Amino acid sequence: MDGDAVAAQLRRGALEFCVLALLERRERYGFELVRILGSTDGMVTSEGTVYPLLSRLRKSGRLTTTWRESTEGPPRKYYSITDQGRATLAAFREEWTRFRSAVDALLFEGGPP
Amino acid sequence: MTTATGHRNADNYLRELRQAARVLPRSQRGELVAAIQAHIADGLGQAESEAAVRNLLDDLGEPADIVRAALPPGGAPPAVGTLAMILGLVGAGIGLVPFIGWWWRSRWALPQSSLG
Repeated sequence: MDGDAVAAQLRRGALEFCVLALLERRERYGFELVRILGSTDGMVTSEGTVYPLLSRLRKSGRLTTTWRESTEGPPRKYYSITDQGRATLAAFREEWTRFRSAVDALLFEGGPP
Repeated sequence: MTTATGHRNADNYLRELRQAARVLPRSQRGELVAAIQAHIADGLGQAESEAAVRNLLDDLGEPADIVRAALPPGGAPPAVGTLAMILGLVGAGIGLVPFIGWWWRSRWALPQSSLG
């Protein structure tokens, strides 16, 4: 498996939680959110594919959306995290910390002798 | 939604996206196209050159890839379009005609022994 395939697998597992984390402190509109992810190394290969993910998160109750008028152009759709989204994010953080430590131990320390 | 962006490449991109998104259910298709259209509108507002617009569309990725990301796992279209349903019903109806004809003839055919 080459680096691109490995990166794709890792992205598939983590991207939705990264989206929730970006919305944890404040709501963001679509273009802003997608551009942050697009500019973060390795997070997305195609910015447009983030929108189906946002739709799935909304349908699963972890995000809500609101259209607001914009002084800079057409109305913007703002994404906000819900309580369910915050709970999901908290659970992921706990698991990720544990998982990352375990993988690091095996990858870089070789595990038990 | 068919509102033009005023930019030819962006309009072509959205046209291609609408075409590719036909495999999606209507509500999902509308939501996806509206989101991408809003993204492009925001991007065009900030783009200062033709090259920036092309980069905006390149960064979005191929419309087919965006639609593929919206499909359920396995990639199968989740719903049959209205046109496909109509064609299916018409085809079924056409297929029934020979069967009905055979049944009608067999119902009214005289037995050999009744002929002179």
